[in-house]
Amino acid sequence: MNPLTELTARLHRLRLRLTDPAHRPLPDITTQTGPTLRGWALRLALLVLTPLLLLTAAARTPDIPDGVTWTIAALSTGLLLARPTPTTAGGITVVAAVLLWGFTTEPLDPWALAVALLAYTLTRTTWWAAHVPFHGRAEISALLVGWRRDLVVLAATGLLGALAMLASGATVPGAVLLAALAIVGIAFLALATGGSPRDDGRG
Amino acid sequence: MTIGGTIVTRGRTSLDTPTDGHHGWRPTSAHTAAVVTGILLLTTSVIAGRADIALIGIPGLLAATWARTNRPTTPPPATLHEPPGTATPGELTATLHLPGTTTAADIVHVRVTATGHRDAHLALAAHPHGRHVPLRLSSVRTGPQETFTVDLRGSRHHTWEEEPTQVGGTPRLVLPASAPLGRLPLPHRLRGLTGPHSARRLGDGAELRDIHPFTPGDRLRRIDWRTTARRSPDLDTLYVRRTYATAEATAVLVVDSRDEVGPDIRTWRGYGTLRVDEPTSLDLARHAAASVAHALVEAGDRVGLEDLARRRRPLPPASGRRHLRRLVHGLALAHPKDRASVHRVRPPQLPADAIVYLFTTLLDDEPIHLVRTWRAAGHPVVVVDTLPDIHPVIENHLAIAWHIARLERENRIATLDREGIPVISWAGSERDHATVRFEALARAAQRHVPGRVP
Repeated sequence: MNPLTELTARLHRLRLRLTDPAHRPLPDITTQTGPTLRGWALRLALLVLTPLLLLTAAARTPDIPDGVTWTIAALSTGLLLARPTPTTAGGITVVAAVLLWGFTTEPLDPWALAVALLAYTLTRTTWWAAHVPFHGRAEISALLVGWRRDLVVLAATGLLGALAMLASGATVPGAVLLAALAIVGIAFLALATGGSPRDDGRG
Repeated sequence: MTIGGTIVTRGRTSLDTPTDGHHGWRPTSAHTAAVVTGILLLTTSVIAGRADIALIGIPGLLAATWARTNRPTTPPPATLHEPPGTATPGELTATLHLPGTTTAADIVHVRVTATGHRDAHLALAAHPHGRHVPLRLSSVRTGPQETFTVDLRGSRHHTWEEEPTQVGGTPRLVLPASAPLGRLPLPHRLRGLTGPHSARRLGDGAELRDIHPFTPGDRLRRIDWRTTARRSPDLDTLYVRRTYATAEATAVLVVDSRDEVGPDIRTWRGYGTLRVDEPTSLDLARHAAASVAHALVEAGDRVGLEDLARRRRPLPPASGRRHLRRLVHGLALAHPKDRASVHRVRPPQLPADAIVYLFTTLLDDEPIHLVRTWRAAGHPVVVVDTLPDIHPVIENHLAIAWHIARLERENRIATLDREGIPVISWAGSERDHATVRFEALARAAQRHVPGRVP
């Protein structure tokens, strides 16, 4: 066969393969819901949150080389994206704690509050990524279910941190104290106004 | 163990239903992971003397403890509500009702599946007083159709999860829609004593035939006094106005439902699934037949239905809107049967002077034999080609097979054309021209019957 003819035939076949109507995706089932978020967006959030948590935890530990930190962050992110399970998220939280530990003798670092907040957010996001497939959708209102409970939990954590700080005799920066007080105030406000039907923080 | 006459093993009955009041709920690995992580970090903080390490695990531990103390209750089961009766193409809908209570699930995970559609995975916020989720399919298919299957699983506080439950819709019958058509070809001879058309014999219609001298048998009220005064001032002869009788046409719709093929010839072998967003040959046949039936019945003619794949009694010709509903229902139920492609020795018997509308794909010679038999019996025949537009294929063997089948089909169409049988295509863009083709055929038939005025 003439090479030019053969090339034309191959190109024609390639065009047919690319435009084959039989390979179109199947039609969608239309559902009427509120505003939603795609499952891939949750995985994208994991892609951001995991390195952020680990780098935040390692930021106050000068002894760890940058290469090691980035390697741990990359491996953890890959692992969580491949297996977004609560166990994986718990393991990464432990890794973050080890990075924060840093083998120093400081009794309490206020930076741990930020790490705790990020770890909790990562755990929640992982739960959602585990329950919503890549092309699935989660309602925004469903994502916000239990926000009052989360706020109360974080406020309680901040309070415990402040108590631990006072007990250890460490000096508390004014900004940290203000932030802790603000979180506690918002948490109490959330509990006080938690009468809406979607409040699941009261059991 | 036996409780109340029911055998219970590990807290579940033989029907796999839990025996306690909180059946269906269990804490998940999220709870275990949060507790283990929290305890591990607390232990580490004690060993290392670092309170900040404990802080990292405390939020998860607190949330898990909180959730554990709030054991959910089981809400009433979800239900799927479908509109009663039949459906039309593109209108396969249902409403999922998710009942809720303040102590039941706060998030409901839903997986909606339907034949020929992508699964829909949703995470929805549960309302304490229940909520409704409308669902709709994108199918353009007609006939009996499977609808939704919904798998549900509730979760509470990101810790408790309900055992999955399933609700399913019932198969529904999708009736074919009808496209507006103009005039349609009618049989050469009309029958009956009344109807919407003018016959060629004398009768009590409104169509004037001629002015004729009064003869015995003529009614007195037909005397045209004005003409009589003009032609016979002495009243020697009386003149009457003679009119044509009225009559009705009879048409039989013959649906060749021995096979159902889609635009993708890879599915013609019986493997693979026909897409629901593309009409098959039978969908086109149903649509075309429903359109023709609608136009004929609206004009007051009698229409019958024959299904080549069935040996049961056909729908005899009749008129009226109730009969039209019967026809559309019969069309929706037409589908290929086992051994239906076997040659029919005897073609369907038709009423005398009926016109035949045959809806077929012309993929074999059977329609040709039928058409010739009907033509020999004096029935005019109109063939409506219902083969959908075929997608090009990449596979060489399929391309060759389709090439041969297409040539044979074109040969059959040319044969019919030579024998004076009109073939009207109903697929794709050709459908827009079908109305014009029918109108042209009606006009051409009119020219061969002098004296008939529509």
